[in-house]
Amino acid sequence: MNKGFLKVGLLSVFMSLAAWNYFSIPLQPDWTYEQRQLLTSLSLSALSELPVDPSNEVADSELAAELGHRLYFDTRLSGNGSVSCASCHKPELMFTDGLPLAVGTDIGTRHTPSLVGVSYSPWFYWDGRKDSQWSQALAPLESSHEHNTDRLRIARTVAEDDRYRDLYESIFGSILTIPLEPFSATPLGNESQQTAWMELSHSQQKNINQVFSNVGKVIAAYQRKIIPGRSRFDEYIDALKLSSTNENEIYSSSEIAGLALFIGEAQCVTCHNGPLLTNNEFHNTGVLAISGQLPSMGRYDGVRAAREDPFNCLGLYSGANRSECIELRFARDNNELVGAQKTPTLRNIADTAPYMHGGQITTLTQVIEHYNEAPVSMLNHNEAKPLELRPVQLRQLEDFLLTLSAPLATEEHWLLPPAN
Amino acid sequence: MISVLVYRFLIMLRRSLRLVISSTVLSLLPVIAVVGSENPDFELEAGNEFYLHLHSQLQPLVINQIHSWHLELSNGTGAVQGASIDLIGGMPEHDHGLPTQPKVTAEIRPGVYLIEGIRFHMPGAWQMLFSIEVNGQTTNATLDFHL
Repeated sequence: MNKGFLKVGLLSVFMSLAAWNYFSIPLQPDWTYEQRQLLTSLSLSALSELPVDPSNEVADSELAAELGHRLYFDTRLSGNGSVSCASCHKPELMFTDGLPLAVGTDIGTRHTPSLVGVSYSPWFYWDGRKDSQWSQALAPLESSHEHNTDRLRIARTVAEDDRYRDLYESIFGSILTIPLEPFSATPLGNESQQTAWMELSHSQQKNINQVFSNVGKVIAAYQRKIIPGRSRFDEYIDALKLSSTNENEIYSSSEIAGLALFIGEAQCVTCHNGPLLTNNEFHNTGVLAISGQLPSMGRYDGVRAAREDPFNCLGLYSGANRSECIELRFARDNNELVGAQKTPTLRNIADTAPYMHGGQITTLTQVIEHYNEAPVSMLNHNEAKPLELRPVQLRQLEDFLLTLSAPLATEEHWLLPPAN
Repeated sequence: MISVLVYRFLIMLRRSLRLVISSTVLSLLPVIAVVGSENPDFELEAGNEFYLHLHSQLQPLVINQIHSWHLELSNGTGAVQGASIDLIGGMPEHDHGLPTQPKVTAEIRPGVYLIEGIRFHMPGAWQMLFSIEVNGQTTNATLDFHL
């Protein structure tokens, strides 16, 4: 009799644990008014026009986008002739590379972020060390592990290629003389490149920097074409907004439960907000340091680098006047930013593994588990708090995140190398 | 009866308008004002001496857009010029500050101060703290609102 009692007891405990972990709570009958308001703000239907970039005079020029498209896919813009922007930001992988750390001419130090919708952001790089998309495009060209070339060689490539030169001059006017010697020069390179740069005249340096910055501006004009497409998520919200009866045909009960967690208990929407599901801000979420590296100082260092950058909004090569450089002038720089990395978009998140600034987390399942646990940060404090969600809820959240994938809204020809 | 109607009106106002402003001024007496995100203004009486009117240049007031506010400072006799105003802000629930460092950059008209560089990057409860110095006397005000 005691054994029978024990069996029933153990079975009850087992059944209770199984129910707790794997049985979902019935859905609420309908979204509240406040939830509907919040959901409406997340749909691509609420996405505004691309913000103007006053620092880039050609940001919305079709001719600039055409030249930028050509340069984006051109491996001549690298030291070894084998790396282009598209080597890491691959259109077929939502402009990522599927690797933990980027591989250009060498293995890099950061995970390749997606370029989808990034033109809406006021800051670039995981640590926000660039304040414009055109200025961002310049840095990989001179980075030793990315393109490993230099501004003089870049300017010379544009000046010596007839098609590039024609397009460039149609956009910016006559290209100024680019010296044939030295072969390579930049203030950011190795010792010989720096020496060569110092030996150029001031006007030569200025001419080279002008062409170099314009290369960044046309590449940015092309990148502004990379816009996310409508997913099942947007269809669901828009059906909801119209009080359509078919919204439950668009989403499964698990996906609806996942969405409810996303905007509620799981608090994802705190940072992943707006139609691009990112606030484009910087947060410390307790992600482990990248293997073999010290923990990153993140935005704390990034904002200082942006202020000192000669190609920033306030710099000589910016098209903006001082009053238009609001983000840079009013950027905060306090200790809260130690270890903070940029919030990525969740659009097409299922297609852009691995995750985090160093690709430290391999799968979406593991990312959700990371936020559920909210581990102590190695630097500063983790802004996220443990969620204590049950396994069934973690699965629902992942089911929802899988609905954010869709083909880009970008015209097909921009996603392929130039035809000729 | 009238008090019930007034109470109901205030409740309706609070439901229809989303920003709730509270302040503490010198004596720490709370002053409550109500504003709407569609027309994000608020009026504030400070210690029977100063009046503050805050007006967002971004309407409706939404997250993720950098923008400016106008702060009109006045007293019983008119505009208060030459005040020194500092402000900070953040989300107490999340233990972090504003994503930007807004500043008063100009007195654009007598008693009207331009605050540039305001951006909110999360939905939820926000708080902004104003420190207003006039003739050596400091007035502190706390603005609580929800986005």
